[in-house]
Amino acid sequence: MKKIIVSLSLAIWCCGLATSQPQTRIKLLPDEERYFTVGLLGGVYFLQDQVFQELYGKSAPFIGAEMTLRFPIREPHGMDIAAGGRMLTKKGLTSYTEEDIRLRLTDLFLSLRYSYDTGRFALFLGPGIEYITYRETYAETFPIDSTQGSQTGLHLTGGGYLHLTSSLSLKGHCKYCLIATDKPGFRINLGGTEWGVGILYRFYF
Amino acid sequence: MIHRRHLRLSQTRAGLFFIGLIGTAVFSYGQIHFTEVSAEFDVRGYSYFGGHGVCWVDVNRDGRIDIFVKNQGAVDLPAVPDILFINYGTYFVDEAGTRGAADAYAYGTHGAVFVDLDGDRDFDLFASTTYGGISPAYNHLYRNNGNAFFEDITSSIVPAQTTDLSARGVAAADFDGDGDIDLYFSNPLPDPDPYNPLPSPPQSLPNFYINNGDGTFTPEYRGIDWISFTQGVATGDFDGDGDIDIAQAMWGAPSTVYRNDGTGHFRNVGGQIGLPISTGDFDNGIVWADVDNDGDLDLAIVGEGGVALYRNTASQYSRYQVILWARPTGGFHVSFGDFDNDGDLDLYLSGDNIYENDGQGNFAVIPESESGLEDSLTMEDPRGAALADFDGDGDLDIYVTNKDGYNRLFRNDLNNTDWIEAEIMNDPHGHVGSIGAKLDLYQAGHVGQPAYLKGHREMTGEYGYLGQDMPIAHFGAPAAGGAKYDLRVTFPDGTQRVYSGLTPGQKVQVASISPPLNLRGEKIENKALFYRETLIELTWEPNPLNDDVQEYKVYELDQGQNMLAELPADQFSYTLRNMNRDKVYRFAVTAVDSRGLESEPATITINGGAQVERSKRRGLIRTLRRPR
Repeated sequence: MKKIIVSLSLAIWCCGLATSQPQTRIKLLPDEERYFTVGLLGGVYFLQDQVFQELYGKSAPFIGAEMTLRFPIREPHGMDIAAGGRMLTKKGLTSYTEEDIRLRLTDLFLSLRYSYDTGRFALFLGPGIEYITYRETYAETFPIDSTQGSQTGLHLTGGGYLHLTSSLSLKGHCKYCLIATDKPGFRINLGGTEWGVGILYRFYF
Repeated sequence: MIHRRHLRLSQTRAGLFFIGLIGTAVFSYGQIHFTEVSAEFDVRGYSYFGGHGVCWVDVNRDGRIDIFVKNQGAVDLPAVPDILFINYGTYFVDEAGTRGAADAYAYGTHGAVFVDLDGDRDFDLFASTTYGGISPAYNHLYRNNGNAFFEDITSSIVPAQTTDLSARGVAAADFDGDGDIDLYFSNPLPDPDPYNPLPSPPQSLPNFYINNGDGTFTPEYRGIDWISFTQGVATGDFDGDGDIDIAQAMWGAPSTVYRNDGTGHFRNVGGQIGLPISTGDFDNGIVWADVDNDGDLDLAIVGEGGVALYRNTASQYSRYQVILWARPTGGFHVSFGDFDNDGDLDLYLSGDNIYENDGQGNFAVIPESESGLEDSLTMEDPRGAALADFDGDGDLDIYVTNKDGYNRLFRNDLNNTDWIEAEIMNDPHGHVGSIGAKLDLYQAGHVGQPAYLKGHREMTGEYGYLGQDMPIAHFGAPAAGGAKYDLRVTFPDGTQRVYSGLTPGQKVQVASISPPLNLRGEKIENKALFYRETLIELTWEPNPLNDDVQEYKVYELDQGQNMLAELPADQFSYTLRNMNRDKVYRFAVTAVDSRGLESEPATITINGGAQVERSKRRGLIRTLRRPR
């Protein structure tokens, strides 16, 4: 019985869609979406490194900031240049002695993204470069105090904006980072997948 | 042609092999047989003069028994320094000169004893000097530095000697029961008239070096008068009262026993305990041994004419057998050892034959044609001898010195498993060898029951005429019927250890405090994200033989011994941080008792390269997931 009711409902909904009139596009933004945004980001970074996962857990939360400069090419198509950074800190334990350790990853990025902006929402996708500085600090009983260094890498990012007002948007994104270092004498994969949301304020020019 | 020669050679080898097999089978069946191997092992010594006594001792603590030969010199002959043959398994090398143990006084050495004077687990050397008309003729003490290199420390631990000495036999033991080793030496005067058959008026001379407890010694008179020229000296607890008594073989005066009053003062009790009170004999050697397995020390006195055997019954001696000596040179020495591993002590008369024990302490000669000791009877002037299992095959071999020719090494061809050996690694005062310790072997399950006593040994220094056996007690312990044995060790301070359920064919390491068991170590990778640390985790188990462990000490053995930690008695692991993953490490762990006595080390070598990846948390996760 339930199956019949659900099937009928789906059929009526599909017929409605097929016969509906075209809707007027609701636009919050001007026709030429040439703008500059600043925003705050937050999210979770899932590092791929198995040792990281063993010591710190599978993910680490981060906060960050982002600036985006959009150049329309032929609306709704355009290009974004985005730059920003994020920082994450996480406490963990060494693998055998279980001493406290603390990791701080600071990440600066620059992306060049294709942007499809309807005025109500926008989608983007593009590659970029990453510059990560890392610092791991250890307990007093550990043989050394800390380790620090930096490394550059690449990323591919994609996501979207939901324009709440003409100046304010929500952002959701996913970024896959390719970055690894051999500086300690062994390989550490600092890459992974970042999932984040943010809120942005837009300036037009 | 070549092929044929090879074939012939291999046939010859095969034949020899089978002859060897047959020979081994024959001799393994409890028959006493020896082969003279002194040339094979290059331990003959000087061809023309010298050999007077011998000590079997593991000077470098490598588990192989070395030989120290005491040589008397002569003014008109080339020098004959003492010999220290280091045992390298298949051959020996004389290293006395390089190791500082040659004691090259022109007129040579008679008495000498290896004993752990300073409780540092190695054998030091007390070498007496016999005055031969060349002054000064002083005793010497040599400290073993642990690697069998000796340093003459006489002047720093003994007051300056001003009198030439004519020492023959010497003795070492804790005579005063204060936990350290004292020394005794015979003839504390120059030029006694050895051939005067009339005893001299007693002279109360300082013939003991009493250990002050701080590593120095004080010469003292302790009740043993010099009354006559003295040859061999023996030590043992003949009356079972827990202290070390002394026996002396003398010329002119009767050989006798001096009873210790427990404080290191002695009294001549020969007449009271059944020994002859008046003889004109020239006795050379004296030995204590339990020949009838009744737990007390019987006595053998070796004189010019033979060996007189005295049975000990309730600390009274009665002569019950005489073994005659028919050779023109005097009889000097006997050694007691269970040469056929049948459970009783047989007798070897130096330069003569083996005499087999019937189990009751009565001895019957084994002709040299059977025993293979023809070479023993052809020695020019046989002197001191001593016993050791120098080849580690569980039977007792014999080294015999020869004053006027090459010394002899007789290898015992028995090679069966009817034996148990016990080596004292440390006693409650830290002395390796533990002179004065008593070892009683019982049928398993019957410790302390006299009817089940299978052998009684007392660790001793020099005995007979200038002989010192290996510092390892050897028992014949027949394995027939799956027999097992219990070994009770009574240390000089009276404390005891019992080792139960011993099967024949094994060597027991006896210790007042024993090393921890099952020492293990592994390299473990301790990971942070950006730093990989190599840990070394040492773990061990407490030794159930220890009942008084105060702490454990951990050492790194790397060109020396570097102590890393002192740990409480309830801690059985130690972790070393930030180690080199690729380096080879050696560690030792010892147990320490409440008196500060430290056990032998348990050691471990941890190789480079391999390390274990281990995560306590991951291990925990696995453990938690499994039940699901």
